[in-house]
Amino acid sequence: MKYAIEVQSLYKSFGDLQAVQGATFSVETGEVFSLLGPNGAGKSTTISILSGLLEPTQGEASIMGHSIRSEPEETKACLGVVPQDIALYPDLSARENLIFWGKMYGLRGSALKQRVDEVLEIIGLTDRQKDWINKYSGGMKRRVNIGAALLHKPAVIIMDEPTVGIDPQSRRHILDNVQSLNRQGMTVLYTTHYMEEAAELSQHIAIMDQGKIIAYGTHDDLIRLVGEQTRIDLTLNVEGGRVIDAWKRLEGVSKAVSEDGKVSVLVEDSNRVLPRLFEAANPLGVRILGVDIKEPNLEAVFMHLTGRALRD
Amino acid sequence: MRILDVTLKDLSQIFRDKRSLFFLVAMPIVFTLFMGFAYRGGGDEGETDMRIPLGWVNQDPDGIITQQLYEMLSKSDSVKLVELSPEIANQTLQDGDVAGVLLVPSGFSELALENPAQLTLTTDPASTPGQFLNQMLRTTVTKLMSSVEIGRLSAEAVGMLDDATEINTAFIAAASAWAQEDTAARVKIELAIGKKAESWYGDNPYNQASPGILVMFVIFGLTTSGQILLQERKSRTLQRMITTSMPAWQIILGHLLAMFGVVFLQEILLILFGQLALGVDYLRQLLAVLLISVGLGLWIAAMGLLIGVLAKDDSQVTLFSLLAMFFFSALGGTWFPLEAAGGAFAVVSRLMPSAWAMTGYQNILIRGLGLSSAWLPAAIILAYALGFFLLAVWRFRKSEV
Amino acid sequence: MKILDIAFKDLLRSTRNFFLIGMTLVAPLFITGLIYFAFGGLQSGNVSMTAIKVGVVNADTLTADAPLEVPIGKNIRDMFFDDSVKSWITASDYPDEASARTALESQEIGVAVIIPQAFTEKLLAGQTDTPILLLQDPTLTIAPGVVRDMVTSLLDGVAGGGIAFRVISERLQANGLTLDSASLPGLLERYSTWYAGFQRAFFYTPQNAALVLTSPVESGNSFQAMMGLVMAGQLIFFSFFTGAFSMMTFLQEDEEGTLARLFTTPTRRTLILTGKFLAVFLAVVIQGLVLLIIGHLLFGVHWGKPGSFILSLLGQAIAAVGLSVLLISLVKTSKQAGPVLGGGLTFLGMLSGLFTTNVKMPAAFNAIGNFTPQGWVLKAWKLTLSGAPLSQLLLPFLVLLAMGVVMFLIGAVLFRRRYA
Repeated sequence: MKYAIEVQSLYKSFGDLQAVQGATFSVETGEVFSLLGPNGAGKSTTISILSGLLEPTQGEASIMGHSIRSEPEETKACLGVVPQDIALYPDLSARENLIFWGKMYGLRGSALKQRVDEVLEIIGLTDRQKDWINKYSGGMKRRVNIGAALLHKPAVIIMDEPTVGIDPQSRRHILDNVQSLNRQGMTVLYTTHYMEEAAELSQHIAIMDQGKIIAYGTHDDLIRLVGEQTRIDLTLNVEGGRVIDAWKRLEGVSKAVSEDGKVSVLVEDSNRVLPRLFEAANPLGVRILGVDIKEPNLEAVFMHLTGRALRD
Repeated sequence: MRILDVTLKDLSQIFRDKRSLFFLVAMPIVFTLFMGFAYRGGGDEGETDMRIPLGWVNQDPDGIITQQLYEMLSKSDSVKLVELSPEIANQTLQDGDVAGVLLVPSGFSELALENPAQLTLTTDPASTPGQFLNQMLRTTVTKLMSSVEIGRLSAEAVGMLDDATEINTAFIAAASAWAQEDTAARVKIELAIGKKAESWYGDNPYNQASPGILVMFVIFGLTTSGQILLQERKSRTLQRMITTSMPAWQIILGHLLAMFGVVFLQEILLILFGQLALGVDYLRQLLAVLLISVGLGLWIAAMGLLIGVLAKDDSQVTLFSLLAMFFFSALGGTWFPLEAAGGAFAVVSRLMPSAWAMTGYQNILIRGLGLSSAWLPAAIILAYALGFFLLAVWRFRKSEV
Repeated sequence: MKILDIAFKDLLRSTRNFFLIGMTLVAPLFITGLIYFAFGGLQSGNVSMTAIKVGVVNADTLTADAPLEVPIGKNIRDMFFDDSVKSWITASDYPDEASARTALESQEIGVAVIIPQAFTEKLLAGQTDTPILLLQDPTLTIAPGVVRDMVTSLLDGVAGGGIAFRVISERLQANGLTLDSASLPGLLERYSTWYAGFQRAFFYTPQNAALVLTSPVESGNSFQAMMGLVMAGQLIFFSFFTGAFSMMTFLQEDEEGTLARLFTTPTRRTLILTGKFLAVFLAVVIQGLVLLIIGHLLFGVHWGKPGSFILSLLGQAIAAVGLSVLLISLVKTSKQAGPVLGGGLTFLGMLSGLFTTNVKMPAAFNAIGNFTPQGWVLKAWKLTLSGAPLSQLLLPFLVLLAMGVVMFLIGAVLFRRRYA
């Protein structure tokens, strides 16, 4: 089967709010696919639809060939879901949690026991398996949160922003796990608003904004959208609003965005444009305190496509 | 000044929690109304017959003594006879249509003349109507059998002991004499009330219910009090406070004052409700009432402080508070009169601050006493407050915040 | 199978919930234990109530020509000092009414018996204008009642003697005989002896007394009957509480995110809901069984016929689950649930008569209990405790079944809509 997940013109509205508008993408079997976008882009809603938590207003999707509308149980049987927030029973131990979730996926008896032992090994918590979840650190809870989705060896695993709010070490551990799972043949649908994660992990990336897929392809394909454009981040002595309009009018500047006291500018040739930026700033009483020139990346792609920073 | 800052901060947090306010004020008001209604004696307004229904199963219909008994009971203004057949008597009792069943066995009148004869009263001895029936029937049966004995003695005195007619005549004469005898008139009952005001509400049924509910729900206010300190610990703001230059005793005192403030406010609201809506005359001795209420508030605040120090989470605070409420309420005499309890229980209850609070309020509301009657109860309650406070401070110092 | 997995998981979590264990088992046993402690002395029939403190002021004297040797006032006074009542009456003499009143106000005594001057003389003359004054502490009811009964009982004895004298005299006259002054005292003495023995039988050999008291309960004594009713009240109140707070796991799982996670597994929502409802049902049944057993072992409660208490317990569980499902379906968060459940259940319990089982309430109030599930559960337990046969339990059980099913269905529909 070529595609593990196929999403076709998916729509979801909540009253007047259109959370997902015509999302269409496909995830090849055995790949890591990232859904990248800022908060409120519609990533979690899309995931919820694929997980069976929400019904789409319109459109269709299938997982391993099973329609989410007409074959929900079959869909869920080959899907493992790692929710964004920890969804575990705090007053049960890690082992008890895994046993319960394994049963919910149809595992029983010695097969269940063996698989729980394996998963505990994978997530590195064999020694602490009898401790209650509410005694765990945040990183440990995240690991069990992932482990509970692996018990039934799903063909597809959906991970909804699994690294939000955790320390760098645990984050690294999770990213390594994702790659390891993928190497074992698991298809991973990964949502994130960290472009470096998407860049590191994924074979294909879909960029989502305001409910729509605005770009889709490999990392290189997406970078090519911005061409040779470079992104320059400038730190100013004042709010960027004073100078941004002037910079937008400069030749060679394709986009300019003000965010968190910095202004990010997409330019064709940083060597040529940089002096012009200084010249335009001086008469306005704006001093440039710092300059950071970055190679084209997904952040730049997003800015190019939406005119906003990925972290807006 | 910083103490008051802590206090005011706590109070503002509490008053934002509508749920707690509901429990603090609305619930006790509803309970007070309900229990006063129950204490009133259960009479419907307009209910004309307040007599207790007594099932009458007569297997000796022709017996002269039985007939006399029937007449005595029929004239009673406290029981209403309900004639029943033996087949349905038990069911009628179980259905609650009668409070008891009096069985007159076959041949009762004949037996009574010659040998001891027995009547059987079937009733729930644990219930108030059952106890009343038992007591009332004892008196009636005593008079009846006394008449029988007098009849026998009289017949013996005239030398006609074998003459049933003579015995019956003397029996009837004795029974008639009993009917005219009013022993109750020879006993006058008076309540010992300190000072009866012109409009004395001493017999207001809410006089018992209002202070009882007040004490019980004020103790339940422990939940709110205990939460204050617990929330500070959970949110780590207590730890933050300790890193400031404010001494630990000031921090504790600030919290204690907030706890006292909440409890005292609850007391004031319930007292006002009792005074204005239920006719309970708390204001007749305002100073005395305030004295006891302040003591009660401080005791609860100190206990709340202790619970806040000991409890690890919300559920523990609630559970400890509930158990304390049950314990001190029962032993304080808010559930049932302590005079009805066994000796050991009454001895233990005498030691309880809740019992002393009840005594204090009862001295004012029911016994009609003055300020001087409030000193001792208030002093004892304050001693408990101090004890719990010291315990809380000691535990606070020991615990890792 | 998954239904059982979900139910078992919820039950396991319940056993680890300190608060739930406290409210399910500790609280009802604690309350019942307190009441047992309060009234336990009554169990064996020994009266071990708080000693009644009586103060006696006796100003009664005899005139020179009085037919009695001892004033009646002295008899009344001596009655309270008699050895036979020492264990439950503490009596003290007071010189006058003022000192007795002072003792009352300071609560040294609970009742003062003031016997006026010339009481005997007035009594024998048939005058009632100098009664015995019973001054009582207005907060007491039992002690004054007991003292009043003792005094009136003694006065009844005296009155009876007077009646005996009058009737015998009348009958002698009616039969044309004269009063034999030598034999009359003997007759009166016999009457007194009879009267004393008659009264004593009530207290010391009640099974041989002229009025025998029997209880409608199947077995056990009246104290056990009372404890049964107390424990039944606790059982009912806290079982509904258990049901409601066990159902709160729904809201908690929703807030924890584990409910959504459950919905992502290949497990039908109907199964998930059913598993959770089953957990609540089992929690209520297990709680009931534990309390029944402990009630019997610790407090000596006789729960009646096995078939009857099983039916009562089942009816209770069905009603508790139904009401819980309905109540929880009406709230959105666990924070909301606290006052709704706590306040709502307490209010319903109040209306159902759980707190006033021994108080005579108005008929209209009693009728309210017919519309609440707790009211019907109370009916069922009262029947069970009184030893009623299974057939009498059928009506309450069927009503509880119907109520439980209706409430459950309404709640389940609301749940399905919320989690569709």
